[in-house]
Amino acid sequence: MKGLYASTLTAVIGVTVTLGVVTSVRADSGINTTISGFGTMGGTYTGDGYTYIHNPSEFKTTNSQFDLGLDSRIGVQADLSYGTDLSVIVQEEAKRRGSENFSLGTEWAFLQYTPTSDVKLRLGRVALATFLMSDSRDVGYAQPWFRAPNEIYADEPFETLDGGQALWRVSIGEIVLDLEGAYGTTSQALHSGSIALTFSAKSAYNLTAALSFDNFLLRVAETTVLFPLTVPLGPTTAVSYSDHDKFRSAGFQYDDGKAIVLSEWAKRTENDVPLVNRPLAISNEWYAAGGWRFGKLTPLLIYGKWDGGLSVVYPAASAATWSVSLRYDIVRNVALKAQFSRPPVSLSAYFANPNFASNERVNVISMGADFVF
Amino acid sequence: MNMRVRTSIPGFIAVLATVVQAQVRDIVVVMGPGAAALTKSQLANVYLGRNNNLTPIDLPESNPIRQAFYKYATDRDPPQIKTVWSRLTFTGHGQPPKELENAAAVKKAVAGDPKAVGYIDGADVDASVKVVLVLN
Repeated sequence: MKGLYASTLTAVIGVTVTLGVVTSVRADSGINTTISGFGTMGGTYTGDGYTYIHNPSEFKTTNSQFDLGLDSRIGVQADLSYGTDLSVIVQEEAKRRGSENFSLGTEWAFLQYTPTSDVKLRLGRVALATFLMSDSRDVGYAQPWFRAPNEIYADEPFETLDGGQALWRVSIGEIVLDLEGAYGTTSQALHSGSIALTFSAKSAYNLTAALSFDNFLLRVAETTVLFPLTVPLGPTTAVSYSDHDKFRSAGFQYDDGKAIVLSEWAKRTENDVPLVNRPLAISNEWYAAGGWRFGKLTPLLIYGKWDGGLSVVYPAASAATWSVSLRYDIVRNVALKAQFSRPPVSLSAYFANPNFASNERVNVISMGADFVF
Repeated sequence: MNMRVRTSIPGFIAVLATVVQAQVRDIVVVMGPGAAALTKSQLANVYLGRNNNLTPIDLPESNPIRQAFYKYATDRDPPQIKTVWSRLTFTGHGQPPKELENAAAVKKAVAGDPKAVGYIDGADVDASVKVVLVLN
C-alpha cells in the first residue's frame, strides 16, 4: 500500500510540475488560462485499534496505526476566462475516494457567467456548501486547523452538486452580504463496516446568506438532499421511501490578523422511516475554536459537541471532544500542521468502527504539510 | 527676545515636521485621476477579495513596500493573505491581485483603468494618478 501511495503521489507531483510550466502560457485566442493547485501530505495515528475517518464516504479495512494516505491529497485547478463575463473553472483532485487507493475526481467543473461584477451564474458541478468551510474543505492551506471539526463536518458526506448555482453580492457601505442558491443532483457511496451503499440524490439544494463586516463574518445556510432509500426491516421485508436529509446551520468567524475565533452550530433533521417511525439520523452539533498568531506559529483550541437523537442508524448519544491544532507557516506557500484530539470511541463522527457501549477515549494524532502553488 | 522665541518654536516644529514627513516615506494608495477617496476598511475589502467592483494590483513579493502595505491596510502578514486568496481561488471566486513589476507599471495601470487600485511609495506619485488614501 505504501508503494502504491508513493507511486500515486509521484505521478501527481509530476503532473503538477508539468502544469506549473503551463501556468506561464497565455494564449492569443482571447482565452486566458491560469493553473493553480493545492495539496496536503500528511497522516493520522489512531490508538487502540480504532479506525479514524473524516466521514462515512471513506473506507478503510484496517487500522494501520499511522495512516499516511488518509489526509494526503492534491488538486489542480484550471481557470479559463474569455473576456470579463465568461469563464470555465475545472478542479481535479487526487485523494482516496471510497477505497484505500488514490483516484482522480472532479470537484468543480462549471461555466460561469458574470453579467455584473456582483452576480455570478454557474452551470455544472459546484461544491455543496453545507457548512462554513465545506467549499474549501480539502484546501488545507486555507484552513487554520489540520482537519475541520468532525462533530460538524463528518455529518454531511455529500460534497458536490451537479446543477446550477447563483451568487449575488450586495454591498451596503462597508457591509458585504453574499447570497447563494444552488440546486442539482448529487451522489455518494457511503460505508458502514464492510457494506457500501451508493446514495443518489434526485434533488438537492443549498441556500446561504453570509454577512461580512470588518473582521467579522456571520453565515446561515440550509441544505437538503432528497434521495430514494430502501431500509431493510427484517430478513425478507424492507421499506422504500424518499429520505429528506436537511441541515440548518449558522457559522461565525472573527479574524483580525492576530486572533481567530470560529464557531458553527448545525441541526440535522430527517423524515421518519415509514413503519419504523424513526428518522435515519438526527443530531445537533456545534464547535467553538479560538487561536492566536504568534508570528508564524498559530495554536488553536477546539471544542466540539455532538448530540444525536434516537434514530435508525445511531442510539441517542452525546459526546464532546477537545482538540489542539498547531500551524507553522514555514515558507510562503507551505504550512506545517499538527493536531491532537481525544474523542470517545462511541462517537461515529470520528470512527469507522465506533463502540457505542464503551466510555473509552483514544488519541487521534495528525501531522502534515499543506501547500499551494 | 521672548516674543521671538515664542514665534520661532511653532515655526521650528513646522519645519521639523516637514523634514520628518519627507524622510518617513508614506505608502500611498492610487487610482485613476477621477477617483473618490477610499477608507482603510474599503481598501481592506478590495485586497481581501470582498469587493468585486474594484481591481487590486500588487507589487512583487520581493518588494518591501508590499509587505508593509498589507500590514498597514489589513493587519495581516503575507501567509495570511495567501490563505485568504487560496480560499477564494479554489472556490472559483477569483484570482489573487495581478502583480506588476514596479511603481511606474502600477501608475500606468491605474491611470488607464478607473476600476484599478494600486499602492506605491509616496515619493513616486505624479499627476497621472490620484492619491485616494495615505497609509502611515
